[in-house]
Amino acid sequence: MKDVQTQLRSRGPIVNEDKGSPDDHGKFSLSEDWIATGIGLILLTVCLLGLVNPEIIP
Amino acid sequence: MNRPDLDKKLSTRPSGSGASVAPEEAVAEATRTRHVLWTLAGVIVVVGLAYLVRFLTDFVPEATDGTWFGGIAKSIEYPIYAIALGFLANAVLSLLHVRDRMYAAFRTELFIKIGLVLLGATINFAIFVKAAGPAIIQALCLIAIVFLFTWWFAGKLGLDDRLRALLASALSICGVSAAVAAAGAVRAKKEQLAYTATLVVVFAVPSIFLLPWLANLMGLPAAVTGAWIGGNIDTTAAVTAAGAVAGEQPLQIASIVKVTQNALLGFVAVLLTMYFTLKIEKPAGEVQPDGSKPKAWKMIWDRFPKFVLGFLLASIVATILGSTMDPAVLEPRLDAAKELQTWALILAFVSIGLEFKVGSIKEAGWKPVAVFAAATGVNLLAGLGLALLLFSSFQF
Repeated sequence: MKDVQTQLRSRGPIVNEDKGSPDDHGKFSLSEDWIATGIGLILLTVCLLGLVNPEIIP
Repeated sequence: MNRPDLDKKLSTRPSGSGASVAPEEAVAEATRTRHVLWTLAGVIVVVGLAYLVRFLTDFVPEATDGTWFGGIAKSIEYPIYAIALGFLANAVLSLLHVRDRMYAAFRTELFIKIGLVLLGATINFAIFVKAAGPAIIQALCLIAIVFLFTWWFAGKLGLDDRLRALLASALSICGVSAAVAAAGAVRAKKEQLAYTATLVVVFAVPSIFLLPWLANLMGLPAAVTGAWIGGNIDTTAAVTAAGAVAGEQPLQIASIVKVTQNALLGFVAVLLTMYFTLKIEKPAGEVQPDGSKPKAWKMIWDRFPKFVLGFLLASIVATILGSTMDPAVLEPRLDAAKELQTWALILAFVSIGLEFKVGSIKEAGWKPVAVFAAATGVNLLAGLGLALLLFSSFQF
């Protein structure tokens, strides 16, 4: 195992046999961009309509 | 029933029988339930830590008032508590071997984007218009300088081309998001993405404290401080944290500069895809299900960080309301939005520490660390020069 690690390091940090998509990570997915934008704008709308009082936010 | 007996029984069942898949479905269902429960526990940890941050931010200065620590306590802003508690909780949860199970709840990117959309409402659109020109020039110059230096230096050290692309994008544009976009464009490995993301955090966290301190030491004006922070720190969450430490005006300029860099992400992803497709290896680049290559404009749109639109829209709406609504009515409503923005930022800063994985750095070896360190030095100097050149005369 140690030999394999040494060999990998000597060739650079990573060897690219695996073509696994980075989006497999899930949490790195860019689609959460829209979710964050939607949540942010909904929260802002709720505040601007006066539905949330700053005093009730802990 | 022992495992071999169960396997034998399952294998003797006729294929296509619904009963043969039932145990697998039950196992999958139990795994899903466990995942949901651990994620829920992670959410409780993140929110609990955020509560603690809010408590400490108010309590520590009051409790230490009049003591030797009182002056220091007053200068400690909420990002510092949030990041410190995030790392502390990371260590505790790692020792208990439960951190990885809760990992799905630690979502720095999601929280920071929600916070930035809300932050847009606190920035008058006139400031956007004034800052847009210098911000775009600074972003273009810095991205070009830092990207090309990183690409060249990583090549000198013999790093893999995909890793070079990831490091150069992360360092020159916007940290983890840029590395994700570049990874998609050049088909990098998950491990390469994971330790690029870890390096981003390792270098960003000290900058959160160092840059505001250095800016103060050099007596930089608020706009220059913001532009330096926004152009230098790689990840958007850390830029916001450093901006919050430096003050309200530096935070506004830092976020505008960083958002401008974010907006250029799609263009860099397209250039990288074209380069890897034409120069490095022919089959690289994204391919549609029908085998055709995606159009450049579609890729730019796919990679465009959509929260930038929310950030701009929030600023426009708040500016219009500011000139048409009674301030006595509008101010409390904007205060509520600001409170929610602070909450979103605290959740993001806590998640920075919780997400951190030291193991991926060990796998990477010293070369990517050396590239990151050298490119950060270049970014610091070039960023300071450009910020002084473009933002010295900026008026709020």
